[in-house]
Amino acid sequence: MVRGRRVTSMHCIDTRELLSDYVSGDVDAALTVSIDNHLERCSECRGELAGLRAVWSALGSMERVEPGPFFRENLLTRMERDPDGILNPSRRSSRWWTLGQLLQARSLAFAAAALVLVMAGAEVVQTQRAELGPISWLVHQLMPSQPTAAHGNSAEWTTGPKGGILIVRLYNLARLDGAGHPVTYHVSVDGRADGPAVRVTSSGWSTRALLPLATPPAGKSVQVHIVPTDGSIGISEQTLSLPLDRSADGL
Amino acid sequence: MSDASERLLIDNCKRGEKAAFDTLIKSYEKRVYNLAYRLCGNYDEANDISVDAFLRVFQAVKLFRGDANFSTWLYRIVTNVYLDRRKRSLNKQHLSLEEYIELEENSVARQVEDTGPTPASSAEESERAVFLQRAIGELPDYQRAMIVLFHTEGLSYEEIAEVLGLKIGTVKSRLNRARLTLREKLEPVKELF
Repeated sequence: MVRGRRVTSMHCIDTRELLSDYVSGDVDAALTVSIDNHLERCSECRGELAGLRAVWSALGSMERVEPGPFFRENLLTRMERDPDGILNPSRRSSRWWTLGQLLQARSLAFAAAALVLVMAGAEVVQTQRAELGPISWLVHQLMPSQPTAAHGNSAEWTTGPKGGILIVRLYNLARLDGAGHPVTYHVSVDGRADGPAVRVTSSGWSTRALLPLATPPAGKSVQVHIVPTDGSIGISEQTLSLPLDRSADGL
Repeated sequence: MSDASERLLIDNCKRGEKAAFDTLIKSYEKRVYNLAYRLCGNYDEANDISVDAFLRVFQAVKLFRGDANFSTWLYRIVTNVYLDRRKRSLNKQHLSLEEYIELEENSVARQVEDTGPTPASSAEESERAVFLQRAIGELPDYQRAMIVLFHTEGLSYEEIAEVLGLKIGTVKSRLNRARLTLREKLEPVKELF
């Protein structure tokens, strides 16, 4: 609150300094009267006041701008790449394992190897472990070699400015191939010539592919073709039937 | 969202729960984006600022003690992201989706255009709004931030002082100056207002 003594006359400079507070109602009664008196006599300051009020009104009525329809998807995908352990606070580096987990895994690897020896035949498993080493063998066992039809894979249709986008979510898509090289996949909608394939790399946990299509897929599911790039070892192409969610369009 | 619900949501974010982050984004994405756009005046840059701001929020949420209003803390981060970018004077690349999704050689559409309003909707924005946004864009950074925080986000002088780390008196005087400056800049087109 701006306070002051009531003065019989104010200069334009003083008045204009206070106009903003006057408009917002932040001047006390004494100053308000002084300003009122000045405004009665000064057309220029009345004009300034009118202009200020117009700007104030325009600022308050500015339309709110909203993000694009995929803002949240993009942000969540960035987070899932998770270089700073946002989603998994225990993960603080790009390494997949901590030393403690690795040592524990090594013990588990030996235990698992012993069990497999009994169930699957000693000669085959011993050969495999001997080739890969115990750690690589465990990693090879735990990292899926092909896309899984695991619970959670899904497709969501949302209408966009040009047709729409089919958002395909794939979980546990193999990030590395059998030789430890990163895998790139071509993802496309089966049987749709209007939709180009998109190339994605897996984050290991959840991978999103945004497929632009001119019209929405028909039916309650959509066939998605997933092809690893040439040279990927131990990764096979697959066609998955994904449940199709149209709830974003109110369908 | 009630205060209690928000506290629970933030606690869940601190534990790294994806669903909590998702809810937090849904609750604040419009406010964050609107603030970012009014600060920078560019849809793509606003998207970049908003994404960076949310990532900073999620990285720093464990440090949020709850003694301040969460939205005020969030606004501070958005404003700081904007001011940091201005200081570095980066040349922005429109990366967004291309960072992790590429189109085949024969593909038609670029997905980056869906990160903001379409050119058609931009054209529909009133002439008055265009001049006003342009005038806001010509203000010094802190004055611009104050104008946007007060007039479009509805923050009080005290909240703006907290967001910008300034004294209330400084906020009031700079805000007054900003309004008068806008008035002068819009004088040539005053018939629109």
